[in-house]
Parts: sequence; structure tokens; C-alpha cells
Amino acid sequence: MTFSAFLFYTFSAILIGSAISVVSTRHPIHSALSLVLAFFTTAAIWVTLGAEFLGLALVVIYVGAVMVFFLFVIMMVNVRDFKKPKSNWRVYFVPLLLVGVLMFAELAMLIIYSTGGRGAVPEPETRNTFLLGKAMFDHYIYALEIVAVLLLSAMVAAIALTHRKTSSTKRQVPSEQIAIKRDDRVRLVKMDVVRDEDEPEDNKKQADK
Amino acid sequence: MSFPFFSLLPELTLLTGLLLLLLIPFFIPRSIEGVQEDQTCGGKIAYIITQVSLWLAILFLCLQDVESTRLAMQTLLLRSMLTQMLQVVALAATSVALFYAYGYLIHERLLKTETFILLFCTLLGVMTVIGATHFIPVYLGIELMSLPLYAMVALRKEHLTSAEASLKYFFLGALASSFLLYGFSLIYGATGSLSMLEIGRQAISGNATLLKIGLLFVVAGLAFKLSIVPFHMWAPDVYRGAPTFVTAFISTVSKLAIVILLLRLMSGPLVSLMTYWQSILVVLACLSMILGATVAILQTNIKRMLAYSTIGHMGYLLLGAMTGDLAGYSASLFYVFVYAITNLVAFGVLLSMHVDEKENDNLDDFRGLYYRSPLRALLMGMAMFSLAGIPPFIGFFGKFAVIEIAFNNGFFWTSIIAILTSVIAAFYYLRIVLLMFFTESAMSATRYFTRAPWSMSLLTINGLTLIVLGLFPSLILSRLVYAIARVIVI
Repeated sequence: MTFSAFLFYTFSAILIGSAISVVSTRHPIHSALSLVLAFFTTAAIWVTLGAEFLGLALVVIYVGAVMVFFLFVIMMVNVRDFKKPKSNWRVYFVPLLLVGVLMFAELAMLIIYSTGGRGAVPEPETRNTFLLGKAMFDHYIYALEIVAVLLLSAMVAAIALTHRKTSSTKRQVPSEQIAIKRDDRVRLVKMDVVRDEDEPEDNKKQADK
Repeated sequence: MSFPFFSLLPELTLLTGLLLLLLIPFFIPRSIEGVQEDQTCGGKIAYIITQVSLWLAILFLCLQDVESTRLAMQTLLLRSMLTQMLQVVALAATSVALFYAYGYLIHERLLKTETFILLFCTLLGVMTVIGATHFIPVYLGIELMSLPLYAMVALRKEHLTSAEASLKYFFLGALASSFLLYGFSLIYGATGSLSMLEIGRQAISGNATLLKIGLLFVVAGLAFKLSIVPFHMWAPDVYRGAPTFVTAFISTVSKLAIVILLLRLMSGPLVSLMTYWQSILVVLACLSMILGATVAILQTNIKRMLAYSTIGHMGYLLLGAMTGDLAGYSASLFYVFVYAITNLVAFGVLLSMHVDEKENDNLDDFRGLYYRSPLRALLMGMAMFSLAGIPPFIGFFGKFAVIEIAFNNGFFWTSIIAILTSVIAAFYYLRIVLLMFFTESAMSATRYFTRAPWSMSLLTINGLTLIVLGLFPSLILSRLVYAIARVIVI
């Protein structure tokens, strides 16, 4: 069995294992962690197949998306519903360590594979990233611009549909707050001092209260 | 690589207009105290910018040299006399519809910057679809055309019917897009190319089964966009729920773009599957014509009725397309031009019927229209006669051209069905004429209508073109035949 075949089967096994654990573990944090591992392993398989740009894009986009997923889990799932763990160490640290070690092992194998196993790193001009960029910004530049307008239109549409101005909303206008002067709020009135004769009684009443 | 600045000038003009519109809200506040919300000068400035950039883009399009067919942007786009004509018609129709819609937009509180930004995005998509010769820009163009339309349908946020229509349109549209994309990917699998020119060369040697399945998916996707039976379910609800201006846009400009795409696919890359195409299109055309003619009779809302009328007209349009020769394609394109011009008049009248915050789009609102507003009644009558296909009007020649072509190419029974359904359809068009001229009005005559500067005179001119072109149909038809005959790829 060649090294690349070994890598493929190892990564596939990890991928299948982590994918199963995404849907089978009880704890949402564990599933999210497994998902990270699954994406990372997929990326690793792609890199061994020579699609390094796709692999990196997967890591950047999907693993980033999983971070958002984490936030959702923390915010939306009522974690107290789960059984109180005996120790945080076993629930959080061991899975984290496991995922971390596996990822590190995959990375190490990839490095060995790309430097030792396969020989020299390909020239920049023949790499996927270079070719993809050349195709996108040269041949498909019009399509790329259309995609840009498409995304813009999606944004405008989302804002146009969800932005409602209600008359009952209270809000601050900082510029007006800053521009305010004392004279707008406080009016000083000159008055003569008036002394009622029963003033001391009033004072007494207030003191009683 | 030098950037083909001049050949892209129309698109760039639209894009510049779009970016200018995006800047408006920064400089002009959305609402000023005491002024009705969203009725500020921002919307009016956006309207003016929109019209100016539309006409600038038309000017640049007309200045282009189209004597010879060229490929632009690394063969992704096509520039020919035909694409130029279609793009000019699409932009001009949008501009004219905007003139009609000015009063309507104010009344419905749609004279906002967003409306025009979304409109520009859609138009860029339309321009792309009309010119594209590669599946990637085709798909992106269709998406760019549809996505803002979904939002524009729902722009009247307080209307529940609008929201419902938009949601239906969005889900079914997403399904249609996925069909289209799946079809493209199968064709790519069979031929190994995404460029239409290349596919045409590879299609003969490619895997025929894959190609046929791909073709089926592509037809389904495009038929959805054209609202052809059995992919028409969305049309009545969307036509009814959308603001009338958006309905007018969907039923004219977006149809124009999809029709040319359909013809280009049929005549270029997939021409080797012609017999297969024909058998699908015959069935679709017959179903559309029959359903469009019969179900429309039951409608009490004129926008729903026009939706079924569109379904029927798309059926007639397929009659010309399915013959598979250049004369048939030019008849189809002529038909879609005729349909667009006529529908613009109908929707123009409908847009000007807006009274007291009410749309007045029920058939009963047309009772005795002649005694309240003779001009509107006359124009609507002309539009209805033209849609029904009655001789002095242009609609007759559109129908005549496609049915003649289909008949000459041996589609005997399909032509018979077309003639019968057009007789049935004449009933509901003429019913509106009857209502307008020969019944008493429930409304008092003193009600005034929405007025917009120039809109009525422009509408009158547009109505008169129905007669003028009806008397001299060769004005368009000969140009179309000439343009089609000159191009290698439609």
C-alpha cells in the first residue's frame, strides 16, 4: 500500500467516525467539535488529491461557519437540560484534546506527504490557486462581476424587505443632544422673594412627615 | 489583456446608475419631519437617475457597431444585431413602464431608492441573459434577474398578498433554478464544455442519454420562468400580489430575455436534439394554450386574468420556436415583441386606474369606464383587441406569423388547437371591452385618476403603435428576419 493510499484510508476512517459522532453524540458541543474535525479531514483529503485551494477554502469558510454554529449552540440550546457533568475536565477537555491531536496528526501527515512522499512542491504557475485565480480574474471576470452585483442585490433586497420604520420607536439623535444649550432646557426667572406669615408652620409639617 | 470598455459601455452605464442610487440615502435623509414617509425628494432623484441612465444605456447600445457578430469578454458574451435589438427593447420597455408607473409608485409609497436599485440589478441580469453564450453567465444572469424580482414583488410590506406571492415565487423559482443548474451540469457532463459554441460541436459525439436528461431539466427550468403549463402555478398569484409595476416588468422584460435564451439554446448547442425538443415543446405549447384560454374566463381580477393570458401567449410563442428553422425563430421573436408592446399598454392603463389608494384591478372596476375616462377605455380596448388577435391591430400579425409557420412545418393539429384556443380567448378579452363601453358604471364619474406627467400622452402613442405596426408589421418583422439571418449563433 502506497503512502497516499494509506493517507486516504486513514483520513476516510477519521472522516466517517467524526461524521457518525456528529449525529450520535448527546452533547451539542461534542457534535460541533466533531463537525470541525469532519470538515478539516475533508479538507485534508482534498489536499492529498491535489485540490489544495478547495481544501483551504473549506477550512476558512466551513470551519469559520462552525464557530458561528458554536455561538448558536451556546445561545439557543438550554445547556442546563443536559445532565450535570461530573467534571468539566472529562466533558470538555478530553474531546478537545482528541480533536486537536487528530488534526495535528493529519497536518503532520500532510506535510510529510507533500514534502517527502510526493517530491518537490509544484511550481507556482501550475498550482491550483494560481490557475483558479487566473481563470476567475481573466477568463471569467464578467461572471465574477455579475456575482458581485448579485450579492449586492441580495443585501439590498434583505434590507429593503426587513427594514421597517415604526412611528413608536424611540431613539436618540446624538447631534441634537450635543447641540443642546442650557438655555433650551432651563429658564431662569427672576422673582421677588415672598414670605408668607405661616411659613414656619409649613416647615414644621414637612419636618413631621 | 485590455479591458473591452466600449463594448461593455451599456452594462457599465447601468452599473454606474446603480452605484449612484446606492449613494442617495447618504446625502438625502429618508424622511423629513412633517413630510409623508418615503415621499421625499430622494425617491424622485432616484427616479430621474434611473431614467437618465436607462436612456444613456440605450444610446450607447445604439452606437455599438453590430454589423458583424462579435464575441466579447473572453467569449462569454455575444454582440450581434439581434442582441442589440433585444437589449434596446428591454431597456426602453422598462423606461416606458416607469413613466406609466410614476403616479402609481407615489401612491403605493414605492418611490424609494430600493425599488430602483433592485430594478437596476434585474436589468443587468436581463442584459446578461440576452447576450450570454456560456452557461456560467447564463445561470448568473438568470439569478440576477430573478432574485431582485422576488424582493420587488414583496416591496409593499403591509400587503399580505404581496408577501404570499413573493414567497411562492421565491420557493418555486429556487426549484426552477436548481433544475436549470442540474440540466447545465448534465450537459457539461455529456459534452465537457460550458460554452454554447463548444457544446454545439461536441453534442453530436457526446453521451446522448445524458444530453437528453439535461435538456429535459433545462426545458423545465426555462418553462418555469416563462410560466408555461405545467410550470405555471406561480403566475396568477404573483401577478395579482405584486405591485402592478412589477407585474408589468415580469410579464414583458423578463419574458423577453428568457425567450431569446431558449431560442439560442435550441438553435445552437442543442440543435442535434431537435426532434426531441419538438416533441416536448408541442405538448407544452398545447397545454399552455388550452389552459390559458379556458381558466382565464373564470377570473374576476384583471391581473390574474392577464396572468392566464400570458400563459396562453407563451404557448403561441412556442409554436414558432418548435419549428426549428430561422423563420420560426423570427416569428417567435416577433410574437414576443408584439406581446410586450401590447401588454405595456394594458398595464399602463391598469397603472393609471389607481384611485383613492385602491388598485381597481377587478373586472367590476372596468364597468362603464368609457363614460368616466374615454381615453383609458379606448386604449384598454385597443390592447384587448390586440391581445385577442383581431386584424387591424399588431396582435393579429403575431398570431398569424406563428400559426402560419407551425402549419407550414406540418404541425397541423397544433395549429388547429391554436386557432380554436384563440377564439375561446377572444371571449374574455372582448368581455372587458363590453364592460367598459356597454355597461353602467357603479362609480361616480367625478372620481379622478392618478395622473403622472406625460404618462397619458405616452400611453396614447404606445396605443397608436399597436395600430401603426398592425398596418405595417414589416417594420419590425423584416428587421428581425434580417438580424436573425445575419447571425451564426442566435
